[in-house]
Amino acid sequence: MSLRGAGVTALVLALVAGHVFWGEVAMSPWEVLLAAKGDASSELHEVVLQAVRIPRVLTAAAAGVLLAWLGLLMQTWFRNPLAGPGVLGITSGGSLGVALAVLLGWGMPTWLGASLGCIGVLILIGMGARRFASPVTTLVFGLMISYAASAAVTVLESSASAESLQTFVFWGMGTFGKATLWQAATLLGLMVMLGGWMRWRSGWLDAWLLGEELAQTMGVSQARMNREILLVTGLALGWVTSVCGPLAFLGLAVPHVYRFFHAGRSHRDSAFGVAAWGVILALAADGLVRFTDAGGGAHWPLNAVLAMLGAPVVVSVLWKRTHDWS
Amino acid sequence: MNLRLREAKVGHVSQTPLLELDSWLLEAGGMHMVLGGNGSGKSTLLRSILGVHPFLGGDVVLEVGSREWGPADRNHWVNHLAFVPSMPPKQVGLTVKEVLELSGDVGDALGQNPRMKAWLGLRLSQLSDGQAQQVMVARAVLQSPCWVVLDEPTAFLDVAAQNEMWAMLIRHVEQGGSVLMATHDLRGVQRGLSITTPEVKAKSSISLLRKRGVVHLSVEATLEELESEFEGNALG
Amino acid sequence: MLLVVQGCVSPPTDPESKPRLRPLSSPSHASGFQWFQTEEGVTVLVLRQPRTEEVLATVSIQALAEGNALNSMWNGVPHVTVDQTKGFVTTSTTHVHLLHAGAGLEGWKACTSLEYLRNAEVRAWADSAGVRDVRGDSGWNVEAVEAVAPGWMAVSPTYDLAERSWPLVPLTEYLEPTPLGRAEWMVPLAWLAGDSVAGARAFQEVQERYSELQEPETKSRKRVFTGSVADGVWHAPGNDSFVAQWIRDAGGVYALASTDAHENVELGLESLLELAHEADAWVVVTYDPDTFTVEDLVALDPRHEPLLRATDEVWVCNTAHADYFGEVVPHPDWVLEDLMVLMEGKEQGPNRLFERLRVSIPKP
Repeated sequence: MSLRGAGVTALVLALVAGHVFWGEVAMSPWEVLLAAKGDASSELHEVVLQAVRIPRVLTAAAAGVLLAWLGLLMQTWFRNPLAGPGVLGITSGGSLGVALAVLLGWGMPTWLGASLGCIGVLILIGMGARRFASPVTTLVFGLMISYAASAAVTVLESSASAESLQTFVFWGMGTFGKATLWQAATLLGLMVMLGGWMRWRSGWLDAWLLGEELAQTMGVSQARMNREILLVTGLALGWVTSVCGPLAFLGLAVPHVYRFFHAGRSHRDSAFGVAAWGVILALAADGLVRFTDAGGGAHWPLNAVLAMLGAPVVVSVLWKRTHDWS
Repeated sequence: MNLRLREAKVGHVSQTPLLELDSWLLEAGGMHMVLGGNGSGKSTLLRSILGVHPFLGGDVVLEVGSREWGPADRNHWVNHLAFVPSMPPKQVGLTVKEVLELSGDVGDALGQNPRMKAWLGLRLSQLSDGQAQQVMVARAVLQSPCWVVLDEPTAFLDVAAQNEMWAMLIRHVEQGGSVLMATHDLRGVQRGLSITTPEVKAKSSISLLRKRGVVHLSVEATLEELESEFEGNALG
Repeated sequence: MLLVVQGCVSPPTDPESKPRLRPLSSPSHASGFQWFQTEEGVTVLVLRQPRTEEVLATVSIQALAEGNALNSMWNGVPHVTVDQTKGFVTTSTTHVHLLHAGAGLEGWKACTSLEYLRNAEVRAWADSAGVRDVRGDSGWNVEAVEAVAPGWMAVSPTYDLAERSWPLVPLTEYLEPTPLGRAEWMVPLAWLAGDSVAGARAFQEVQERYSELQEPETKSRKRVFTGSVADGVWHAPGNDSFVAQWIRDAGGVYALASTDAHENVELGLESLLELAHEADAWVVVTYDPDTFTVEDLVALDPRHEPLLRATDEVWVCNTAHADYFGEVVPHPDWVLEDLMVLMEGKEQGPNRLFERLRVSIPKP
């Protein structure tokens, strides 16, 4: 592994360790290790570690990797540096699902409402993808779904009670802290699935970068690629949104951060680096969130922190004189 | 491995066809030039042959020995038909080595064009248009030792780069490959064909797309003859 | 104190005779209202923010003369002259019940929260008296309010008191730091509704009962906490809130006593777990039309799960079965009674306001 790769790996490990060993409940490193094994002297330590810190760091890391890979996938598929996972309208569908569940008072847990919303949008896009030949029309379709979903959410908001409105707004802020251990485990499983799929199709994805028609003459089946991309994106993004809420900027920004620091551009070479930077950005953001939560005073929701970290990245992409994002 | 077009109608859905052709045989081992003005259907014809655009009627088959591979066997065509678009891809971060490796062994490509060795570590986006087109042709040759289909490959190139391009294509046919090219570079066509071997020339063709049909010209035609046919086409 | 006389009243000829306000007897527990009397003998109710003592409005039933002392003492504060013959409008079920406990609901013409009322008696009264709903999409249904033309409207300080020169009376009972202080608001409400004697008598009964029940010093010393997780942090009432006072009056210790705030307090979730680990009981106020179980509690928010592991027991007030925000407000003794029973370790108090939940989360 190159020096740079080693450095990035070290940063990842340091951030993970920071999130496990640091928190408002002061625990010495030895106590942390004991609690992880289940031999803690105090039950409080066990609860804090097993039910709070570990699920949270796993969720954040897995979500970071998933969103970063999805961002890379979207930027490849649309050959556009400003594409991100939200571009297909799936997160908007999740919002609509939660809005229906919460604002109409259906009493469904938010993660279920979000899942159903994402599945609904995925079905719509799937139906549309059969008719639409190119990614661009799929993109526009996804944008229109986003707008329609937002409009529907506004209607629901206007007649909702104050508490349900508040619940909905808080869901929209995004958080890594609401996931249970099994939800974190499923995210890790999805991570393995997405990574496996991307490795399998890395040749196709690289060819796609050369051009849509050219890739087809090289043996890439556009129909199959469409279907597979929609399926993996729907599954991965749908579940991340269900568990963590709609997360902004991560998918869009991480591939650019990766490109800034690393040279490899083929999908095979960049998979690890993009994943690592996804973890770094997610854990850094969550670190700020946990820090402000602990200190009292204004605390920053996750999406706000992600925007603060991610927006400058996006601006710098737009700012570059040469419109070359390779 | 000849290419044969069978009663092909080329064009866009729900518009009048651009081309209505009878049977047209493109013999393997030759350099086949397809000339035509803008809007004559050259690009659409090529893309229909490649399978990225549907025929309005008829089809194209690849004759392999005694068998014919039609459009339904498209997955077999990949190793026999490769494409070079007119503009090299923009803003691609893949290195030259990675692009070539998508289609075959880099060593083989370097054997064809040793100059590329210096470019292997560079990104495609860092090359000039001429250099990038050379890489794209080399890649196509790696993908298909048989047909290389090019759509106005010299349109964006300067003279030196154009010469390089022709040299690569001629090397390809001399090693047993075949070329199908849409172009309006008459001078290049005439010069390119004039330096091929007689064997290759015998299998080559120059076709002019006009009035929704095709006119076959002589491969021995001079530049003046080509120009007058072409001008006639434009005026007629 | 120099008085600035406004309007076109001729200055007093005698510099010694300045118009004055005389304070009347203070409320025994509440700090959000105070009675005064003008020189002409008009009783004025002064409404304040209980913590900051900022004066929000003044109210009188008789009209005040020009150049009255109010202008000098509280310049810029709106004054409402209430017409008791024209009935009133409410915006909160708490106010409805405070009135019901004291003066009664005679004169109640309209409200904005008809569907939140749960008490059968009050609903029956509303139906038979034809109380209408005047809520609109932007707060008020303006036309409906104008049609009702009430003599006064019970709102909170969050409302725009200058809206259309309506007789809006801002009540701050929810900011009182003690439960009796909150209940004492039945007195000014009864006065506004026209029967101050009934209000005073009703409160006297409540006050006596509460004092009888109250423990003089913390007896059980059970540590109790409450609050909710919303946006990733824990929000709980501060040490100077009526919830904390209830717990102290019932003989317990409010677990967030180290915080001095009276407004809501915010804690990070790990700090909360630390606190819960040392506390004895967690009080949850929630709404569930069926029985509320531990599974329901976890389903409300997955972050409750580690909290349940750190906590010994949970006392649930299910507002579907106990009108905590309505009927209970004028009867703080009910809550006190039930809390004390729970602190002794029994299952449920006589008023059935809380129930103890069995907590048994299996370790993963």
